[in-house]
Amino acid sequence: MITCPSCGIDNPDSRVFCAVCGTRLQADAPLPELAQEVSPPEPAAKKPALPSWLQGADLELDPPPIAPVIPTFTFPSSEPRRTTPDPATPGDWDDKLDFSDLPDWELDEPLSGMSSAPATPIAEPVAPVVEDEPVYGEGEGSGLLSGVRGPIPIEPIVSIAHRPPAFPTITEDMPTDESQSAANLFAQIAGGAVRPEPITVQRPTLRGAGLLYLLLALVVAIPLALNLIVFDLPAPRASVEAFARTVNTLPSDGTVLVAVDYDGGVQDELTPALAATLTQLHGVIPEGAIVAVSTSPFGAAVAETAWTSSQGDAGVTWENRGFISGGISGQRALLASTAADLVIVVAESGKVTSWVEQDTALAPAYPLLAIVPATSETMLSPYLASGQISGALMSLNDTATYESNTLGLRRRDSIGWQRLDAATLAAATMVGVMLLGSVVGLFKRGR
Amino acid sequence: MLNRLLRRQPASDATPPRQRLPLLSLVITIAVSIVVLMDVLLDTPLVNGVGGLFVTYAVIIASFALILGVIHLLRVHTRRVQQRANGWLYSLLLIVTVVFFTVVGLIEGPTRGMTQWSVTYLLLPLQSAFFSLLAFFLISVLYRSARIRSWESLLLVVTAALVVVGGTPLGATISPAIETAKEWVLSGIATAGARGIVLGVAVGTVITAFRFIADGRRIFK
Repeated sequence: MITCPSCGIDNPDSRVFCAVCGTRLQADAPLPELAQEVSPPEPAAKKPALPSWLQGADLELDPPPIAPVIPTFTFPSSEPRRTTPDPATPGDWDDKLDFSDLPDWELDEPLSGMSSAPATPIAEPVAPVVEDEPVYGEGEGSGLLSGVRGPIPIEPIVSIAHRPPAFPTITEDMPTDESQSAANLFAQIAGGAVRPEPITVQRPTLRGAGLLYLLLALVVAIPLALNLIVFDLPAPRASVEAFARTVNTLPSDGTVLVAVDYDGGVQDELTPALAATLTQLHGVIPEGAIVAVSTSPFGAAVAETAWTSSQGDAGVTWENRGFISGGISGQRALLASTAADLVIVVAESGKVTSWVEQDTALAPAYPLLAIVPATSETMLSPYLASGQISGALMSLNDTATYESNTLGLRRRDSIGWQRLDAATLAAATMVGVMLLGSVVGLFKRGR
Repeated sequence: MLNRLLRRQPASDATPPRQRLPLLSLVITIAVSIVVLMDVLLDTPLVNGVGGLFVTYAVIIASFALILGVIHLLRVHTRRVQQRANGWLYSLLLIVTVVFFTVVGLIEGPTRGMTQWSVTYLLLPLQSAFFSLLAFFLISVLYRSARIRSWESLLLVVTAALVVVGGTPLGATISPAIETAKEWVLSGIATAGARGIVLGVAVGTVITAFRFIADGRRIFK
């Protein structure tokens, strides 16, 4: 094996040039001989009949199928161009073609790149070489690479003969104006010259949707602003009474763990309930402590907001421990290491269930209360029915009745009651719009 | 034996290198999972103590994972700012906000000063405003989609109206029967469906846990 001094690749001993980079390996080795030139075959004696304006051009319109042809480049001759058709050989085209304004190039000379001499055929196509030895110059006696010598091995595909390009004719495969313009556009886009415009989908819009939005806003805002409508509160539900009763049974020095795990989307519904609960705890455990935790990063600030909104004496100790990491593992670790008399979870149903499951896994389990939005009432009801949760405030309705019955607040002091009025007006408007849409739909179908 | 446990599994042509899992890591994961599961089911001091210790370790690791997540987030957005990628201004705003509130939080604490102010007067109002948009979209959807086209849609519309109105004082004002009907729908039909969902989630969780314990390599793929 011979190691190439340039690229370091090992080559067989018989090689003269490196197979990778072409560097000469053996300085004293003879160069491989090129193939012999093949003599061209005799031109065909019979030619097809050509019109007069093509006479002189030796085009192989129907080259022999067996003998492939490679065109050779020759310069046009210096003979004067014949601008008029030869009257000796009249043809169908003679009376129709006028050559007086044609460009100054030889008509009866072959086309550019086409030789007037008989085309030089080549030998049989070279079979693909399997062995390591490359093929040099075999079948390259003519053409562009004729006489080229050197280390470039000839790929078998180079020696494959090909037909000369056919005379262009109008066919149905040629691109139309539309397809050509589309191809040009594609080329521009692919080249980055044109940034395609995004396709905008026209979505069907509801006519008068703005009126519905305005209706909703006015129906809610005007009565509240003018204090026109005040709904009477219904009787508190059993879950609300159980909630208040469980808080009232705490010892005066009891410890309550409050898990605040909700975000701003439901804070208008849950913060009044939490503030009311903290207000009740002020009176129930004046010598005790309230410990606030959260599994969300900003839960500590939310708990602090609710504590600020609560009312009562400053006797009870407020301890905001903030964020606990680890998710469910953090909940379990906290419940296992905490000695609390009551656990109150203020969150949506997903997090409430995790707190309930971790608390239930302990022995003994802590009494659990929940404050959830109205949308979570359905998912919380199984835990309430099974007794895993002692009591719950599950909507603004419950919050308002809790503030009114337990804390004795009037409407002007009850945030939950005021927001319940707004929610009632909005709910009534939505139900009315829903029924109106159904009536309109039935009327349209009837027509 | 130890070398084999510490070293990776011999690569096979069918398994890409990225999917190979060290055997020792898999053994540790499965063993800890079994111990924590036994901690819930059994009431022995040894198992409870070891299980509680593992849970504490998980909390500590989660804290470090949170720090790593924040660092990675800053790296990604710093690269976007350096490369002037699309939307790099938002990335710059994120970086400035993270750094600012980290420094302020370390100095003042999470429930005082600027941190408390930003949550009370920025974060919560913005989230409330975002969710309040749902009411306007909902009214448009109710007008277009909640139409009576069949008996099923009629049942849906009537039930929706009953539950919505029954949950407000307006239902009690119209008729006490509306509130009673609403309670029946929620406590009977809806609770049954919720129980089924909760049971399904619990069963799926148990099955997934046992699948992992039995064949953790497949889960990691």
